[in-house]
Amino acid sequence: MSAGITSLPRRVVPRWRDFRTAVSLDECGSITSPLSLQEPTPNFLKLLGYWGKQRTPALAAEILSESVVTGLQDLAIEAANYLCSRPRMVNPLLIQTAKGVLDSLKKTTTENITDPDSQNLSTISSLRRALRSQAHDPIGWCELSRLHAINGQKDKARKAMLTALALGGESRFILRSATRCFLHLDEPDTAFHILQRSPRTKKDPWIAAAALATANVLDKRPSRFRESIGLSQNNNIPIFHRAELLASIATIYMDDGNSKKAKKELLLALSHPTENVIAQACWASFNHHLQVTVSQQLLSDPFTDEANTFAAIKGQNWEYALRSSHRWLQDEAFAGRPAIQAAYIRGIAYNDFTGAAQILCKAALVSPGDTLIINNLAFSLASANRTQEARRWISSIDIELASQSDAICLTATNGLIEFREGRIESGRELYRKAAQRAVAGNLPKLRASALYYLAREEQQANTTFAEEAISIARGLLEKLHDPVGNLLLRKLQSGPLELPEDLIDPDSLPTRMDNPALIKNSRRPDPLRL
Amino acid sequence: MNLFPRNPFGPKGVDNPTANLVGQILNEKWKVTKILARDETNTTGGAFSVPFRVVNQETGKEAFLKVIDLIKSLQMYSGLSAAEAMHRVGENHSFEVYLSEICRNKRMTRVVHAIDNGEVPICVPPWGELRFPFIIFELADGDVHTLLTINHKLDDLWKINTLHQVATAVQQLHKENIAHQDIKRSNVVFFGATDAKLTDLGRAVKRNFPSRNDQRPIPCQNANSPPELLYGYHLPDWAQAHLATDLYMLGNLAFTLFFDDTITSQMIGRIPSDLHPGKFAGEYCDILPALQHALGEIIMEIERQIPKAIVQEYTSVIRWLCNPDPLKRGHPKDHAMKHSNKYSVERFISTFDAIKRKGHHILST
Repeated sequence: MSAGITSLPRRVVPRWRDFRTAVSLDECGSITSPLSLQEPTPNFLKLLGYWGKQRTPALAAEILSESVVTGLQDLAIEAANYLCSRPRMVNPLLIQTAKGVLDSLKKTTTENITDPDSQNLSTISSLRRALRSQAHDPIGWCELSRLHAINGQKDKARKAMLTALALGGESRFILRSATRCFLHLDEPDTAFHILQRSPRTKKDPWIAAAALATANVLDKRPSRFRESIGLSQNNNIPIFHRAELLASIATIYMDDGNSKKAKKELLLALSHPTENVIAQACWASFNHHLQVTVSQQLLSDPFTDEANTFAAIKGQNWEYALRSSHRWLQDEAFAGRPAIQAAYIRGIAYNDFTGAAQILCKAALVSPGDTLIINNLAFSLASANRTQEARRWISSIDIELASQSDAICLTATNGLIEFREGRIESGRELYRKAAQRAVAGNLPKLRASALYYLAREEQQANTTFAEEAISIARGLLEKLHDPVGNLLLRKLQSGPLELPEDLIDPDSLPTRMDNPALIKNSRRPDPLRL
Repeated sequence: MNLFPRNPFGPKGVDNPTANLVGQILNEKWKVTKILARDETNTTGGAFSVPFRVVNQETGKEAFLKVIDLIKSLQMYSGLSAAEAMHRVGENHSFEVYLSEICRNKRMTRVVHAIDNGEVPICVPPWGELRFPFIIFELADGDVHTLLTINHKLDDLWKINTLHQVATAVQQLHKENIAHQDIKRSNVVFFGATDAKLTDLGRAVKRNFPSRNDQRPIPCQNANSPPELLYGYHLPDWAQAHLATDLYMLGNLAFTLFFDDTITSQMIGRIPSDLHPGKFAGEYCDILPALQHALGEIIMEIERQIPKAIVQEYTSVIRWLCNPDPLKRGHPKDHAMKHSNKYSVERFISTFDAIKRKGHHILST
């Protein structure tokens, strides 16, 4: 039996994206009020005066340089056009700057966001070559680490990130990326240590949020919780820059069962949130039934794919949930959660177990040893009657070491393999064992799922117990009042949903940038009261 | 109570009266022969001075006269009282004269020497006679900025030779604890075909000798400035603040001579516009990785344009001199040694010399 990630704990751990995207999303912006644009200096005005009288490439170059440096690009449009029209007289570097000035005046913020697919262009080898000549580039090392992580090369990712930290460990971008990197590498202690040591944790709410989330992962009470609360209440810092800290504090309150305080913090964060905060709010409303409204407008923000996945599941819009989860997977190609979710929806809603296995196979390479990924992969393979492969994967997991919920899933998946290999008695026994463990652990959703899949297998094997099993599963699913429960009920009555044609091959899905209309035109769930 | 009247030389002040100086004799020996029309292609130098050609009546030797444009200078201080503004102009002039005298006394061969100085009374109606400060320098044949504007394709070897001589000038100044703070093409003048010198100490600072120049947040044009100053990141240590600035400007000059653009503009042009100076108000350490990344990109691109024979040395010079981190700027060997001057120019002089010799060798074989 497979499981999704909606019921797993979620912390506001920093995202790990390429630098340009992080800047476009204002994750590197200053927490103090932005400076007003500089006035042109007397020298700049003098240059512009000369430009009115005579035009030479040298003068155009000076105007261009001064405009770029002072942020007054709009005063250099003529000079930039002049240089662009004389490519033979001007150095290519200068032409590039001129084009940059002209482009910067056209572009909107979202157009600056890097296309996830274009990241493939900056391949590991080209980055390595660049770093050979410019070894002091922390962003280069950070990006190299991310690409290694996407390739599942954890050791290399670790080494590259340590170099980035040594070169630029005071930078917010590097610190946040390192936090996420070490959490991904199953080294939360390292992430925690780095953040505890950084002087920025006391004064930068973005870093304080990362520190709280990391402490939360380690089940530690953060040592600077009071300081972080003070920072989150500092009204001199715009809410956007405090939003992740507020959401992290809200998560701690939720864990403590203090829904009132959690809601207050989360609502404040939602007044100007990051996409990570929007995702946290959607998750909180899904799992903790926190009454927070995430407006349709917020769900239209760039990179809110995780939030949209949660929202669409809650709204039982499975097609939109699948599309969103795929976009989320493109955004966080190194992470296991989006892969698990995309494959899970494929499997439970559309019975596309081959597609699900395809996604999870890649995820298993990126996150080797992840129990949930391996269980879901084995489940998908077995459901597609590839039981030998399924058994190979599942045998790599020691069920005794797995968490309670993972152990239930693994037991049920072993039952599925037994069924598909014709050992019906043994399969039935394992499914029942899984259901009993779920009862013992007070996990009604897992119990219902286990018995649903038992019913599915009994039906497929055409046993005498099939009808009884279906009836039991139906009874349990009806009591759940849960989107997944409703979906499974519907499947019992009318079979799986039909997979839209453009979603059939998970590898050929259009990216965000291939078709920007993909976001605008796809049917979004109705405004949700989550 | 302010005893002095407000500065009368506001933005709508009087026309420049220094034009009438031609024909006058200064300090009883220098005859002003010609006002040097500011070449409009030279847009970067001498904003607050008027240039003249003078001749020594005893020796017949020609020299360069720089008269402080009191009107423009006072306009710059339009928020101050006239007395305070005059005091500041006088202070700046005296400081430049003082530094020029050090250069002459220490026989700095690569810095343009001041030959004489003084004040010339000029009538500025309706305020009457004002004393305009002046300095007389060796007369150069031109400056590199103008030369490059006229003759766009200058010999690479000539450029390297010029850089070698400017680096020597910087070293000579640093040895006397003077930082130039405004190294740029228009402040590099040449005598004959190959003899280059650094001029204009108007923005220079001296260690343990406080002056108003110490208080300038950006001592030069923005486009030539080290990025840390554009982001308001000022280091308290004198060497880190001023010698590191000179090193950056030397690297920037090396870049500008070959690529017609400043490296500051190239670096900033490559980082996202949200992080540009004037828009970003955060900490410099947040910008630094982006600037390091941009420098890496620039170096990869210039590697394709620089002659192969010198590419390694040249790109190393740019990488080390233009490091956006002022604490790491300079030669890595100097940074690795515990008791060495981290901002020494010595090794860069040797590098420019090595490139020059390599170039000569290639041309001769």
